[in-house]
Amino acid sequence: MKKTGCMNRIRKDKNIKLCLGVLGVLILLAVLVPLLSPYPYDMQDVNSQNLGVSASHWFGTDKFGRDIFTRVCYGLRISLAVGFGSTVICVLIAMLVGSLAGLCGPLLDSILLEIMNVISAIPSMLYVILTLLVFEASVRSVMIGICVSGWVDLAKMLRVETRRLGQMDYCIAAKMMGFSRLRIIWKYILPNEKELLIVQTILLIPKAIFTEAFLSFLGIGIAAPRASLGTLIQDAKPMITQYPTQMLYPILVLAVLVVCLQSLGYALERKA
Amino acid sequence: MEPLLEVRHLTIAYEDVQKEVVKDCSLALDKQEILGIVGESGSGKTTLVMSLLGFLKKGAVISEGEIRYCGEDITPPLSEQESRRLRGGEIAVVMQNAMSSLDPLMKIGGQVMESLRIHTGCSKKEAKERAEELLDMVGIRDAKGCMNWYPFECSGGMQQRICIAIALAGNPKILIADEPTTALDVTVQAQILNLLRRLCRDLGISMILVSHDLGVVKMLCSRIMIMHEGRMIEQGRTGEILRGGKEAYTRALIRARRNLEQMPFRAEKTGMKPVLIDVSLVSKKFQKKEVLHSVSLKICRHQTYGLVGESGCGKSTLACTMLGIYRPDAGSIFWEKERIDRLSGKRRRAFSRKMQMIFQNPYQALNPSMTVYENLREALVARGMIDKAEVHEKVAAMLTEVGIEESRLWDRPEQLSGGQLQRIMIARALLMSPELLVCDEPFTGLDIQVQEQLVHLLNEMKKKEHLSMLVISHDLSLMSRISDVLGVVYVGWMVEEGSCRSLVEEPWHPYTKALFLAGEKVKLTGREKKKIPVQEEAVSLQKTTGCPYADNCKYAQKRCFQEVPELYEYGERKVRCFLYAEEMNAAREEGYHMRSLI
Amino acid sequence: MAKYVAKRLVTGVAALLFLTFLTFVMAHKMPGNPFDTGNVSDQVLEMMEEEYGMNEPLGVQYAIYMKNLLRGDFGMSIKKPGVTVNSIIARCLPVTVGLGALAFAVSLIMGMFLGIWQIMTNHLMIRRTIQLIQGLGVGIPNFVYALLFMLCFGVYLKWFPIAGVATAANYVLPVASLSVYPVCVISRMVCSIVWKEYDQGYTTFLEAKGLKKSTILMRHMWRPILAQLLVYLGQLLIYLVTGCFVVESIFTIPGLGREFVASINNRDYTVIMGLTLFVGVVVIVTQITLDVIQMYLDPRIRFGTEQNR
Repeated sequence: MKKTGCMNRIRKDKNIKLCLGVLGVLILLAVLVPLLSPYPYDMQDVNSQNLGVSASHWFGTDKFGRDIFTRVCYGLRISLAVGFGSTVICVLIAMLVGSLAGLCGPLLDSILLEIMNVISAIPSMLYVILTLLVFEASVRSVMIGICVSGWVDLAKMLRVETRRLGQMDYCIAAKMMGFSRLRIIWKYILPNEKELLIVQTILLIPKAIFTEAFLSFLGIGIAAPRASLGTLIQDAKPMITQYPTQMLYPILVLAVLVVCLQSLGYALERKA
Repeated sequence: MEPLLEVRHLTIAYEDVQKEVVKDCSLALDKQEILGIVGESGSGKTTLVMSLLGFLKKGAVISEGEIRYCGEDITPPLSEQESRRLRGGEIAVVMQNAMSSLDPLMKIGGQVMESLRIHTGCSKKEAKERAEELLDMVGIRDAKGCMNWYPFECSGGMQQRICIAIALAGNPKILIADEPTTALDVTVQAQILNLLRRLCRDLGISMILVSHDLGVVKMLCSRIMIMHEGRMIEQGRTGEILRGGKEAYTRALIRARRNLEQMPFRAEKTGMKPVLIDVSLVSKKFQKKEVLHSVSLKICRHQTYGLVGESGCGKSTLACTMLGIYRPDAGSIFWEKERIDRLSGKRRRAFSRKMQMIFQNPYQALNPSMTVYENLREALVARGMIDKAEVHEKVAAMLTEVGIEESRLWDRPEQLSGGQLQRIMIARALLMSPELLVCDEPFTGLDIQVQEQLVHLLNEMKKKEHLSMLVISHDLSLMSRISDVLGVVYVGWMVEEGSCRSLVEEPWHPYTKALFLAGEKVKLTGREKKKIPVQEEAVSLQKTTGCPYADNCKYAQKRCFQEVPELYEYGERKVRCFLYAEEMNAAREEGYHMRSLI
Repeated sequence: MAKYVAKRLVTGVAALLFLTFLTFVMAHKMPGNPFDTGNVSDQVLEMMEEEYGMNEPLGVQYAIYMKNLLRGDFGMSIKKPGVTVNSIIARCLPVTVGLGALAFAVSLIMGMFLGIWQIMTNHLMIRRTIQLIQGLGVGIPNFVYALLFMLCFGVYLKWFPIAGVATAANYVLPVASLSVYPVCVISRMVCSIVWKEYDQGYTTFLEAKGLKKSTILMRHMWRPILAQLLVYLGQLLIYLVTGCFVVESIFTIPGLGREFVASINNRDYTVIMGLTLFVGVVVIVTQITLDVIQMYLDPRIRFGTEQNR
C-alpha cells in the first residue's frame, strides 16, 4: 500500500504539481526558443538599445540591442543542459561506485572510500575553476568540472544505504539462493534505493545550475557572446542604477528554476 | 473503599478514519493491587494504558468516558501543569523497549537524578545519593559504577531495571508496565518480574501489567482483564479466569496456550542415521570479540536439531556460519563428508542452495519492491527453471500448501500481515527444495495462536518434504516440543547436548536447569518450584579464564573459575561442566549410566 | 580513538598532496601558461626561472615547487612583477576572515534561533511562514540575494553603502547576503534533528517523567544538535569561502575572493595556483580538526565500543 499510496499522494500534492508545471513551461521555452523568437541571441541592433518591455521585445533589450527574452531562453538552455547533463553522469558514476563499495569486500570498500574522501576534501568549486582554465570555457568543460567531484556525496550515501540493505534478510536470502552479486545489486538493492536516488538526483540539478550561473557571473564560466543566465546578470550589472529590469529578468528566471527544482526534491523527500 | 484509579466506559477513536481503538472499557484499580491486562497485538491495550497518562497518538481523541484518580477527574486533555504533576509523581510508566526509553547520549546517573529532582526538589548531592540507592534497590550489582555509564554499555535487563528506577524516583502510587519483559531473555524476564512483584509489595504501589503472555500475568497479578479488538472481553480474579473464564475468546486463548505447553514430546527415532551436516570445533571472532568457541554439532537426515540459548549467545552467528554467510576462523564444516567451509564462489553457492533459512523478522524477509509472486519465483529461477507455466504452477501449489490464498500472489509484502509473510517466507525456502531448513527464532513476537499454527505447519512440512531442520530459539518449552535433539549454548560455548526427551526430563548442566526453571515460572500449567533470585545476572565482560557460567552458577567451585571444562561425553549426552568430569567420577564400572548431579 | 585521528591525518595529507599535484599539472597544461617560454616578458622569465626552475625536467620542477610550499612560499605573480602571493594573502586575508567570521556567527545564531522558534511555536501560520522563507532562502543563489540587497537597500532605499569596507555599515549587506542560505539550512537542520530524536522514542519516556517540552529541548536535545552542527560546519566553511568570491566582487570588497577572481580573469597563473593551494590547505586542515572534535564528543566512539553486526 505504501508504494501505490505514495504515487497517489504525489499526484495529489499541489506543491509538486505546481513545481512540475512551472518546470515544464521553462523546459518548453528553452527547447522551442528558435521557433518562438524571431531574433538570434547575438544579433545586435544599434537602434534598439536599452528598450523597455514591449510587444516586439517581451523582456526589452540590452545595451547592445539584443533581445533579452531570447537571450534568457538560450540561457535557460545552457542551464538545463548543464544541470541535467552533469547530473546524469554524476548519478551513473555514483551508482557504480556506491554499489560496489557497499557490497564488495572490505578492502575494495576502504580503497574506494579513501579515494572519495580525498576527492571531496577539496572544494568542488576549485575543480570546476581549474577545469575551466585548462580547457576552453564551454558547456562541456563546465559539465566535466562539475562531474569531477559532484558524484562523491551521492556515492557515499548509496554506499551506506547499499551496506544497510545488504544486511537485510531478503538480501541474505538472495545470497543463499546462490545469486551473483551483480544480480543482487540490480534486483534487490537498487529498486529499494529508488526513493533516495530520485530525491538526490533532483537535488543535484539545481546545484549544478547554480555552480554554472555563479561562475559565468564571475566571468570564469561561459563567456560572451554566448548567453548563460550568469553572464546575462553580469552584463546587466553596470546598468543596475539606470535599467534595473535588465538584470531582473535573468535573475527571476534563474531563481524560479532553482527554487522549483529544490522544492520538488524536498517535497518528494517528505512524501517518501 | 474508593478505588485508586477508575476508568469508566472509555472510548478512544481516530477522528479522521472513524476507527475506534478502545471501545467502552472500564476498569478499577485498588491500592496495592496488581492488575493484568492481556490481549494480542492490536487489541488496544497499549493505547488504553498510555491514555491514562494523557499520551494519545496523533489524531486520537477520547470520545467518551472518563478516568478518575483518587476521585479526581484526570481525563485527557489536561492542562500542562496538571499532567506534569501526574506523570512520574503519581503515575509512572515502564515501556517495552528499554533501550529506546533512555537518552543515548546522557549518563545514567544524570537520567535518574533528573527524575528525582523534578518530583522531590532535593539538592544535587541528595539526588545523587538517592539515585544510587534506587539503582541498588532495583538489583543492579554495581550501582555506583552504573551511575557513570551510558545506556549502550548496559545489557537489556539492566536497562529495564534502570527504567524501573527512573519510574520509581518520583514516588508514584501507580506503576504501569507495558510489556516490560517481552524483549528480554527468559532468565532475565523471571528476575525482572520477581523484582516488580517485590517492589510493589515493599513500596505499597499498585501496578497495571500489560502483556500478551498469560504466563507472565499469572505470575504477578491478582486480577486479569482480557482485551480483544478494543473491547474488554472479560475481567475477574486470576484463578477464575485461568480455570476457564466465561467468554469463548478467553477460553480459546487459554486453550491455545495449554496446547502449546502440553504438546507431546516427539517420538524418539531409533537407529543410526546418515549425518547430513557436521560442524566441528567452529570458532568465530568479530573484531576481537570471540562469539563462538569451538562449537560442534551434527545434524542427521530427517532430524530436527534445536539450538537453545539467550540473546547474544552466538546461535544466530552459528547458523550464519553454517550457511556460508560467515567463514569460521577455526574448525570445519562438512556436508555429507565434503568439506564446505573453505569453498568460495560458485562451489559454495551450490551448497548454499541446499540449506535455506527462515528469518526472525518476517517484515524484512521479502523484497519490498517485488510482488509475492516475483519473490517466490526467485527461488525457482535460482534452480534454473524458466518455463513460465511450470513456474506459475509450482508457485501456486506451494502457496496453497502453506495456507495462503492464490489471490495474494499479486500483492506486495507491505500489504500483508506478519503471519502471512512468514508463511510466504517458508514457501520460498521450500521452493528451493532444500535438504536442511534453518529457522532463526521463528516464534518470537508472534501471538500465541499463530505460534501454535506455525508449529503445526513446520511439522507437516518436515514430514512432506523430508527435511532436516535446525531450529534456533530461546523458548525452551516450545523447542522441546519440536526437536529431536537439543543443544544448549551459553555465550558462545556449547554447554549441553542430548536427545530432547532426556534433556528435558533430566537437565545436567546448571544453566539448562536455570532456563527450565525460568520457563516454568511463566507457565500456566505447572506449580511454582524454586525461587528465582531478584538480583541481576553478572555482567559477562570479556572472560578469558574459567567456565563462562561460573559467575552465576550455584555449584561453582574454585576450579570452575580457573579452567574451562571440556565437553564430557556420556553416550549421546554431552555436557560442559566439571561436575561431570571423568576424574571426579573415577572408578565407574562398565554400563554405569550417568545421572544428573544437580 | 587515536587510530581514528591518525587515519584522518593520513587522508588529509593525501588530499593536500593530491591538490598540489593537481594545481601543478593544471598550471602546466593551461593554454598560454607562462611555463611555455616565449609567452612572457624577459623579466618575468627570469623570475620564473629562479622561483620555479623552469628549464629543469618536470619532476625536479615539482620538487622545487613542493619545497617552496613547505617553506610557506606560495609563489609570485607574473602579471604584477615583484608581488608575491604571500603578500596578497597578508593584505587581503584579514578582510575576508572578518567578513567570513561575521557571516559565520550571524548564520549560527540566527539559524539556531529560527529553528528553535519553529519547533516551539504552536501557531501554524508562523511555522508555515518560516518554512516558506526557508524554501526561498535555500533555493535562490546567494549572488542573486547580494544583487537584490544591493538594489533594494543600497540603491533605492540608500540605507547602507554598497562598496568598500570603510565603515561597519559597509559590512551589513555583504554579511546579510552571505548568511541567508546558511540560516535557512541550519534552522531546517535543527528542526529535522529534533523530529528525528522524537521519532526514536525516548522523548515519550522523558515526557512521562513529567518534563516540559522546553526542558526536554534544552537539556536533552543540545547534544545531538551540536553533533550534527559540527558535521555541517565543514560544509559551511566551504560555502563561505566560495560565497566570499562573489560577495566581494559585487560589493567591491578588497578581500581574497576578489583577488582570486581577478587573477583568474587576468590569467595570472601563478597567483591562481598559489591562492588555490592556500584555500585548499585551509579548508582541509579545518575539516580534519572538526572531524576530530566531533569524534571526541561522541561517547560511543570515545570509549571504543562498537555495536554492529
